[in-house]
Order: sequence, then structure tokens, then C-alpha cells
Amino acid sequence: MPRSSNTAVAHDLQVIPAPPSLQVVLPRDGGPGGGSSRARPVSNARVAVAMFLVAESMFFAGLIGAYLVFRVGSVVWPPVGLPALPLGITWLNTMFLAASGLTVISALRGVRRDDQRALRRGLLWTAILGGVFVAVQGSEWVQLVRHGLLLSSGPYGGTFYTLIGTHAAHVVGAMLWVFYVAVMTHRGRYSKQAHDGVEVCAIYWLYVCAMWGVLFWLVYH
Amino acid sequence: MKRFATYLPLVALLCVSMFFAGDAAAQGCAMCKTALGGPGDPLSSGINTSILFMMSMPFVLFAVVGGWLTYMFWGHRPDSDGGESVAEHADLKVLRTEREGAR
Repeated sequence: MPRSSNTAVAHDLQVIPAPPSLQVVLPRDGGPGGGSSRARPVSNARVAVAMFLVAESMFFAGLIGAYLVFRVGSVVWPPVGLPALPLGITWLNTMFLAASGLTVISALRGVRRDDQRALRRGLLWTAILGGVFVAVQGSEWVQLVRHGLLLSSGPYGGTFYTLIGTHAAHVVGAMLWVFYVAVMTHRGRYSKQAHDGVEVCAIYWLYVCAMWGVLFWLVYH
Repeated sequence: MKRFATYLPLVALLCVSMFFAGDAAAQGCAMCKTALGGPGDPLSSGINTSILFMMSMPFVLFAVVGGWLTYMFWGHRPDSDGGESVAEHADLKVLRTEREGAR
């Protein structure tokens, strides 16, 4: 395997100090020893977030399993006397969340080509669209409570508020993460070479968006 | 390999015995048997669906993560981006050797 002349000389002598060209500076957020996606097929940060998402998936699977017991086990759903869930506004809200998925991808693409402006813009729009999603969902909940659907309204209300509320809490958590990444971006933390922080945040955001797709199909239809 | 060969007849016997398994005297736990109304009961159908869903989830997750890792490691070519990754590895190795030698 061909090497540079400096490397070959250094290898042969074994004792001379490394020339400046070989001084590898490890970035704070990655690098050959710290989880760079270039040096390894999968960075440590990506593996960590994958494990976290597996745990999250099992958590949601437990909630969905409980929901399925009541949903499949009921002859009439929603139960008589309780309001049906608003489908139109939730479709619109789903579009907002899907759009936030696109903006976080654009932010990730921005940092991959070292475009800090695109990164900031993508993160900002992601946070805004996430905020809109949570706000619309909050207003929807207020309407449902006014129509008599409470947490104590049997399995229908209980499973709805638990499932959708847990997801909303995840969206809020993901928004806080996006804010953190935005602050770090403002401080110049991320670059084309070291952007694992942006990547794992984007993965988490996309996971939350995908989970909403599953819950929307399951709960609202 | 030798240890595997020792246990092979036992595993084969276990596999063959599965074909001759009869119905057990009790199916399912006593709680499910008394609380649910049998195959026609909607609640038992719901519980069955939930059990199948919950049972499949670890396998699905394992397959997804395992498949992703396999794809990433299998598809990884150290010099796919112009040999930079190989060079980085080689440089780091040399650098470490030199530092250890200097000490």
C-alpha cells in the first residue's frame, strides 16, 4: 500500500518525532479516535443513539400493546357517548411534522457540505415546526377535554392521552435537543469533518416523526 | 467443533421429538383461562393481537439494527473516499509507534 514519503521515513526510523503533517488533531466532536464517521463505518455516537432508539421503541411498543388490547378487544370504538378524534386538523398537523423532518434533513445536508447558514436555517425551521405541532396538539386536547374526553374516560381516553401525550413529550424533548444543537452551531462547534452531534439529533428527530406516523395511523383511524 | 459434535445427537433428538409432541393438559395460564371468554371473546382477540405484536417487536428491532450495522460494516470500504480513511489509520498507527519509541 503506497504511503507518503514522510510516513515511510518515519516508519523506518521508528524514533524521530512525528512531522507536522502527521500530527492528527482530534476534533472535540469526533475524529479518528473519538467516533468520526469517516474513520469508522459507524461512529460511537450513532451506535449509542441506535441503542437508545431501540429502548424507546420497546417503550412505545408496551404502550401500543396496551392500546391494542382495548382497541381490538372493544366491539364499538370509540365508545358510545365519547367524541371521535379530529382527523382533519391532525392530518394538517402531521404535515407540519413531516415538513420538520425535511428541514432537519436539509440542516444535516448543510453541515455535511460545511454550509453553516443552511444548518442554522434548517435547525430553526425544525424547532418552529415542532413547536407548531405541539401547539396544535395542545389546542386539540383542549377541545377534546371540553367535549368530555378525559384521562379518566375509560380505556379510550386513558390510552389516547397516554400514547399521544408520551409522543408529545418526546417532541418537546427533541425540540430541546435541537435548541442545544443550534446553540452549539452558533458557537462554531460543528464542521464538515465533525458533526456527529447534528447527525444524532437529526436521527432522533426523524425517529420521533416516524413514530408519529405509526401512532397517527393506529390511534386516529 | 468437538464440543458441538458431542451435543449434536442431543440436539437432533430434541428436534425430532418436537414432531411427536401432543397436546398439553393445560394451555395458557390460569388467569387468562378464567378471565377471558374463549376464542369468540373480543377481549381475548385483543390480548392475542397485543401478545403477537409485543412478541415480534424485539425480533423486528434486532433485525433492523443488525441489518443496519451489517450494511454499514459490509459496505464500508476504507478507501472509498479517496483513500483518506486508510491514510488516517496508517498515519495514526505510525504516530503511535513513534511516540512509544520516543518514550
